Amino acid sequence: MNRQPANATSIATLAALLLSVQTLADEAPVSVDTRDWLCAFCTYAEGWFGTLGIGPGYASDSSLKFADYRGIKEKGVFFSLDGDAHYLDETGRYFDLYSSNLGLDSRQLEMRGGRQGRFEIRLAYREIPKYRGYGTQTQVQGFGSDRLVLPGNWVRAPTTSGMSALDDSLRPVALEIKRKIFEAGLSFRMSGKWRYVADFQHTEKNGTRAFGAGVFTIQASHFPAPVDFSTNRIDMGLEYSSKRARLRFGFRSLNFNNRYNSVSWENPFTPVGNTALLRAALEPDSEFYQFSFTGNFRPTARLRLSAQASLGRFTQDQTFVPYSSNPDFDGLQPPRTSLNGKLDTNSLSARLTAGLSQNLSLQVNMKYDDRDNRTPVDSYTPVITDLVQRPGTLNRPYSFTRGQYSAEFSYRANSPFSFNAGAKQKNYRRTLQSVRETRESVWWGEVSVDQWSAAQLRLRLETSSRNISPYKQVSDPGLQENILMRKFHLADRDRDRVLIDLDLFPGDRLSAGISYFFTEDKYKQSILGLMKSNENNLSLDLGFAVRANLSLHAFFNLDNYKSDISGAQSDFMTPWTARTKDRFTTWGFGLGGKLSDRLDISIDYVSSKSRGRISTDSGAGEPPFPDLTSHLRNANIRLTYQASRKWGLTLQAEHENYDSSDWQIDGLGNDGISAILTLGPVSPQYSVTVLRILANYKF
Amino acid sequence: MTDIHPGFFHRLIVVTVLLMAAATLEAQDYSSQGADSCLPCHFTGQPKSATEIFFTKHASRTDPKAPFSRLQCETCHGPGQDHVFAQQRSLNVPPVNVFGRNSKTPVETQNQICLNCHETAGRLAWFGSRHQVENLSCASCHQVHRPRDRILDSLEQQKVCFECHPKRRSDTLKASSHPLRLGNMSCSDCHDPHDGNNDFLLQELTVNETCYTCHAEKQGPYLWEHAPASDNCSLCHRPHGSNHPSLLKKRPPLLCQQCHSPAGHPSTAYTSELTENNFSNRFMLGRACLNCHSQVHGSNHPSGATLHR
Repeated sequence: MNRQPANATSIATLAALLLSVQTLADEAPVSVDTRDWLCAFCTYAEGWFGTLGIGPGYASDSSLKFADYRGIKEKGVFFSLDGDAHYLDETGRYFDLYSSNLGLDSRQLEMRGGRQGRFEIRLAYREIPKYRGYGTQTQVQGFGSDRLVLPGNWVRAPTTSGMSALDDSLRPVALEIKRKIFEAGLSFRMSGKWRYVADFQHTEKNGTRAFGAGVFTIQASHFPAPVDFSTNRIDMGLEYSSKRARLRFGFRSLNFNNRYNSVSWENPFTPVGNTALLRAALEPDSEFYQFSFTGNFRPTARLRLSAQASLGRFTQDQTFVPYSSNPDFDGLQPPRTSLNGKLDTNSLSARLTAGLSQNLSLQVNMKYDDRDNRTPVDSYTPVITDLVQRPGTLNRPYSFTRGQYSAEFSYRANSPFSFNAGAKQKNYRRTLQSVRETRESVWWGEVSVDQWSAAQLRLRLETSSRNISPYKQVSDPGLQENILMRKFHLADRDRDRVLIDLDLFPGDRLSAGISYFFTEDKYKQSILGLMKSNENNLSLDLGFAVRANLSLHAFFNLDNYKSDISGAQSDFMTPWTARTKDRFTTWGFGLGGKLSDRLDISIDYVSSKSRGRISTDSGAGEPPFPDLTSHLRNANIRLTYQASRKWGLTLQAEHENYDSSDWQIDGLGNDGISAILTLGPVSPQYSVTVLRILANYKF
Repeated sequence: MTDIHPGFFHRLIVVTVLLMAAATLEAQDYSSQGADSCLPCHFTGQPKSATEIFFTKHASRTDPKAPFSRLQCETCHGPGQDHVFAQQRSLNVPPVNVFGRNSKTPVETQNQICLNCHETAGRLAWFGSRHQVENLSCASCHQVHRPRDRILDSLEQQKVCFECHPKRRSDTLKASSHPLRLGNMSCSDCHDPHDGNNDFLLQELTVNETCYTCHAEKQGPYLWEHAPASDNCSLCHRPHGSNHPSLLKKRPPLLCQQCHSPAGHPSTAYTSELTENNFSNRFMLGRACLNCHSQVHGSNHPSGATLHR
């Protein structure tokens, strides 16, 4: 009997069997028999459900600073309505609605609905009220429009002290801007791999804001200029997803429209020359369009490449207002009727992330972006403050290109230690500015220690050095900059940074965190301008779980900012020096969670204090200015009692106290500066208590 | 060649059957009843209740990508048979995959489970982004089992961000800040925490393009540009919070005197002893330089070369 063919057959059969076993082992996790997986315990939510909270509130006082972003402007009763509603069904259809503050000027509403995995439609609306300038008053009439006039009995004078009709003419004017944002979105899956997304946002911004302008250094006035903006934003994207690649093709547009292209006002001072009527241009209508591509590729399990590219264009072609409202210059015409402004933005970035080994990875980044300002350059003869015509002046459409290149190693092993180290090069080229090119090298290293999940320490050090091409002062005609001045963003700079984070978890119930951050910039080659600045921050956080579903927290932050500036009144005078120091102390604590099955509690207290100090020394040792101060204290208590499965009651009490002082405006009123007629703002101070009762209904 | 022993094939068959049994057993590491194996312990009211997931999209039975359309709890948490057996014997054996900051499941494993479905637009540049390099897990910020992930609520989202960025909490309480403190906007309106191609994890390609999203009136281009404003808004502004108006880093005149020094009023030393001086105080008090130069972001007026008009 010939056994050799039998031996070969046996070996082959064995190999095939072993291979099939291995294949079976590899594929076994996927082929799970789920026929008995009935999900009997699965408590699927179906139908409609949600909560509605409704009830009155009361504010103890009026304050525009308190109303800032909050929308509770007046003392007295207001109406509160919050809620959410949802729908789910077994076919995958869903609907979500979230709302808050519907009775206030800060109302928000968001709705989403669709069929999961197929499409979604989104609608949202919100309002944001903003108040600036507290206690402001004005003598002008017609505010809210683009033509501001003086009262009929107005008495002009060369200084504010001579304006005898001022006191009787002043009327309160709230510098309020209300932002209303409407959003709509759509996404749908066209196939297993393709998805289309579109978002639209329409924003209206209406109100008044402070605007200051005048005639040279002789006189100036502040007035409430109109704000009537609308912006339309469109974002569209076509997305592709597969196992190895994910791509997105996008289009974005941002259209801005200003109802008013200028504002004119009657000069309240005795006019110098023919400057009784003055006019300023407001923000012009503009458009932005951008096409973009984003991609993510995974050629192998250890290699990933992501890339992004975009082409964009800003355009602006608003018709110019005349050179001057001064009739002495009526015959003067600009070289063109509108700017025909065009600015192209292009960008390209790529990142390669490679797993070099089990524990070591490398990422390499490249980023390039380019601002190519193609706005036409012409020679204008501007009439400075409607009084003096300047000789031919070219406009300067600034362009720049930026390149960034970096590499970073990350080492992470099954040990408490992990390391990151990297370097980055940033190159910046600018046109029409004092410096053509800046180059910055950045180096960093980071070590993290994660010990037994009880402590995590992170230490990061970073240093960078920026060098510039020769500095050549670029000045406007007649306004020659001091030859020693160095604009800080165009100057040589050394920067050092330190970050330390320590998180402690001594037990299951207690957590503590300490964080320290320091950064210092030194402009060693600068003689005038910003010389040095530094910032440091210390943060402490504590968390304690009193029991399940009830926890305490506390925090403390200390922020310091300091900068040194040097100036000189001419090329030949001794420099003067100035220092600014801002210090912030913030702390707070709170308790949140369930006191019992039916009672939820939330208690929060925060205090935020700031002090700003400015000192300028001409060489005579002058003392600093009075401190700029602010102090915010807020206490908030909220109790929710669930009386039954459907009904509950929420009681909320909030008290907020705010003090501030600002030597630049305090005590001045409208006429405290002889050559400037202001709106007379004061530093805000308030103490307001808000009480709310909400009946909650769960359905 | 040596003849094969007649008993060889018998042994071969036995070994093969044992190996196949082992492979089959690996498939049987998944529980026998899916979620019905998990929920009796992880039911509503229990310390580690998981039933709130049924209010979320992850529980969909019609979306083929949703976990509950596939292997239910074990789609994300991995094969659970050992865990079930151990719990029945009062032994402490966790599921294969546990999500969260202090989990023993490697962060890379946790994240890959989420990214198997969610590595779509908005997370295309996750790998190599700062949060990924710092070894942050998805579950550090996201709560999958809650009816509404806290990260989707503007106030709750901030609290999550402040856990690692505590300085930003104090910034929101400063005299001038973006409307974050009261929930009118959220960190993710400006930042994209998943995608790392942009500086500072911004939503848009540059600082300025991010700012123009809400402040489109500044986008221009203007006839007379103010170079630093066209370059980078954060040269003058501190976007998270400041004690100076309009989020400025410093007050004018010093803010402006950092860069401007022509002879005359721009370069004068304005000291505290000049506040009563009727000539000097117009450059220091009120809005200081902005008493006259209001158009600091640029002007489209033919006579606006000095940003007066």
